Amino acid sequence: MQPSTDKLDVGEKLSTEKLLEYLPWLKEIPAPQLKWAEGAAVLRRFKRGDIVCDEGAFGSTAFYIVSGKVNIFIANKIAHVKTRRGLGGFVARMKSFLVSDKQEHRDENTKTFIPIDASVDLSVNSPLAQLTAGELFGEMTCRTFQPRSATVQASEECVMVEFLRVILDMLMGSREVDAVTKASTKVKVGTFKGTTFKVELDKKYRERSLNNHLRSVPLFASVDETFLALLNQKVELVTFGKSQVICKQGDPADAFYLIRSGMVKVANAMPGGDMVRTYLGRGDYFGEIGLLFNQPRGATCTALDTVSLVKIGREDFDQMLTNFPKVKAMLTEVAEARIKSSQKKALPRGLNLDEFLNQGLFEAQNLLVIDLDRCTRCDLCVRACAEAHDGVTRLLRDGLRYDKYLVATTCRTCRDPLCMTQCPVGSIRRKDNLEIIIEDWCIGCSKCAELCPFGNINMHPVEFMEEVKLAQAAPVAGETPKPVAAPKKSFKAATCDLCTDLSMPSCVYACPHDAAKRVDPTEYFTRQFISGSRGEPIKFDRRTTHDAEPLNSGRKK
Amino acid sequence: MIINRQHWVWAAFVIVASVVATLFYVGEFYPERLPLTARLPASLHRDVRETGRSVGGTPLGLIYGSIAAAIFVFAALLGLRRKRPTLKVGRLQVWLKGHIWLTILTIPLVLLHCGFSSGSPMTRWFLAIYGIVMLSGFYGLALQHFLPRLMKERVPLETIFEQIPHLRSQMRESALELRKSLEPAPAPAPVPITTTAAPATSLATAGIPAVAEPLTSTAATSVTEVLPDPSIPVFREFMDEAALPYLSAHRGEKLLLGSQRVSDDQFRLLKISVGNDWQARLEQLQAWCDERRQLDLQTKLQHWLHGWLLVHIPFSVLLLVFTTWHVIAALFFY
Repeated sequence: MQPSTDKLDVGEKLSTEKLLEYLPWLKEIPAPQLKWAEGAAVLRRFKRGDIVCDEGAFGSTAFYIVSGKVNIFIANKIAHVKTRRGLGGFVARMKSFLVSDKQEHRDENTKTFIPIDASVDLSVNSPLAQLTAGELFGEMTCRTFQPRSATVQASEECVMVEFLRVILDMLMGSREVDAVTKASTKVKVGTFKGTTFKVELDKKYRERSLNNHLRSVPLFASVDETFLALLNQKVELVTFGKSQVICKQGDPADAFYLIRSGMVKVANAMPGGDMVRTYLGRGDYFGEIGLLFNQPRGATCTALDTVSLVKIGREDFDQMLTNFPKVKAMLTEVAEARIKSSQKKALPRGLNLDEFLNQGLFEAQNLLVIDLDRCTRCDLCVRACAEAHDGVTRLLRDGLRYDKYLVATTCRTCRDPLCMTQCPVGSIRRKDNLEIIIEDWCIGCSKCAELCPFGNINMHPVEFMEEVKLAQAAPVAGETPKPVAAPKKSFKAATCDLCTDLSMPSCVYACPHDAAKRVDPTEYFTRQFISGSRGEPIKFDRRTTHDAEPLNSGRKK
Repeated sequence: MIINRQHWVWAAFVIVASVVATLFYVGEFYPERLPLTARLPASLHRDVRETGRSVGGTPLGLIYGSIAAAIFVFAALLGLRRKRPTLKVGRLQVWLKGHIWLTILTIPLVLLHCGFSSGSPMTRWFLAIYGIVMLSGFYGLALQHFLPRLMKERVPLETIFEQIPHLRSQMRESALELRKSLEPAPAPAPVPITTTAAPATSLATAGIPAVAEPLTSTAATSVTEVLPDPSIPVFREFMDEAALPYLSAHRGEKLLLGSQRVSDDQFRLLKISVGNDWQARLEQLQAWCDERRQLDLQTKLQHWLHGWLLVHIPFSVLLLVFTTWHVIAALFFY
């Protein structure tokens, strides 16, 4: 983790008058409010080659480029931690490697663009872009204190204004104060209407980035340029404030949304409260199910913070589906997968619900449980995990108990994956089967590891992976050279990969006593415990403990 | 491993194999006792009653012996298999089931191989070692049926076994810190004590008019020393005599606080003796002692759960050595 370097303690302090010279849009702000901008901005000058900010570093400011150009790129290796056999054959040993997606394609829906905290996206193959005068970057870091998503390096002499959130809010006009905060604080918090800066920024985005952004979404990859140009003119750029509902479950479906920046929470209304289905970030989309199947909204989508969206109206959407059947087929597939995953979330019956909910078991989809009546504490599960992952176990035989089961400390593939909520580059995401996957462009900021409530994400030191170093040292003929920047991060996030290369997870495979099981807790525990009819106490049925199959058994023979 | 209904295939196999082996044994050596014919081809038939040779030296006896020896080798391989738990040579669970049930099958095989005769002194040693291995195995298997459950029920604060010494030392360190806080502070410089007036109600009941103004000691009394808290010596004495020795002991079971009942009584008494300010710290100390007791119990149960292997494994190695010797000797003399 990089320490924060931007606390406005470097650079030339800007008085309000000076600030208005560089950011003239602030003149639209009423004078009493403009006073709040005093001391909230500095002028920074960078020489060619200077690093403006490092990926993974914490910060609280945004940058506006007054003059000059900067390169924005990912310096960390574009690769994921992968476990596979090291030596082959009978005495095969499992080892952890860093593997790029080119060498081993993991998922057909892998994005080709890396969403970053700027108006541009980076290509996975060559994660480098350029920003010029008049552009803004670091908006999400400024708003939500996310780590920096990319490294920014001056490619020529640059002048920038670095500022705090108050100025960003003045410019963009998206500060929302929820009722609870208003009630609980005596400090007056301003709400800004915004300036024409936002309009200009939207215009620039529409001219320069929107087509690329749309193209980066797999859905629009096959759409021709003419239609994209048409769409570019028709789409609406909308912004939602924190906690604002974008669309509500049960409302008629009127638009399709593509996320331009910010995080959106997708939740279903359930008895007892909302059930979070997933979080979506920049480059993700939602709202297609209602349009495709002509039905009301199936979930409520809420902005986690300020969210900018590209809104495609129903008519344009329908036109796209008619003209491009391939897009329709792809959308239908995604929509069906989403419907299927939400249908899985039925309330469990016959369980000790208090404990079940307190331990967050309902949120888990794939849980490693150890039957304590059978476990002889031989630790072979842990040893097997370590053996399968280059000597570093991703499992601890410790944790909370649920009845006679120990819920081991390892990834649960939560339904509400908090680990995904603050990834600055959106590298942690779900696969279609809801398994959590960490993409190659992880910058090693460890935010996901901090956010995991169960401590199940590990940071892997990249230095250990000599094979990758050697592979990356050899340049491939014809490949675009990557930006020269010494990678300062030497970590990649890794979580339990369920030993996807094997027929079943190593921990389950190695347990000699049939005590370790990978299960869907809702299904498994419902099967294990018989709920008495008419509200009788729950009883444990010992007869049915031994017939559960691990979730991924027989997946690969 | 818990033997349950999932093992029925293995159990059925062992029973059928034992019955078949016995049938062949009887059919080969005591055909008159069987209504049917069950014997090896005539070329392999040896009548031990006529030749006076041992059963082990006959073709059928050798078959039984070879199968038993092969099972011994397979059983020993489990140890190596456990060293590489992810090897793709079948799940460890299947290996363990095979280990248990096939070694049970060796009982009839060995008995039939030696023709229910102990043979030479060396063979008697062999059988004795075999007996120890089998008994220790059964003992371990029996322990695995109830000790994990016992551990689950009696050690709710169970932790990773290797972490126990660390946890114990942490608790000891914390207790020492607590003890340090009980040391008498260096005598403070005399300062006047400000005391507020007693509540009006109590004064009224005593027939003294209530005083609304606070009294300062300089005006009302000449007491200038801080009164010692009477709880401290009691707490300190308890820590020195019971808690610290218990938390520092290598084996604490025999000490006063090693017993749950005695510990509860001691702490109950202490809670009555010390003031309210000390209750929280006393609770904390009691929690440490309780946890220490659980860790001791976990250690004990863990030793029981795995201690039988100290007999089972060395004797299994010895059994393999004897088996090798026995095979070489048999081949040499055959």
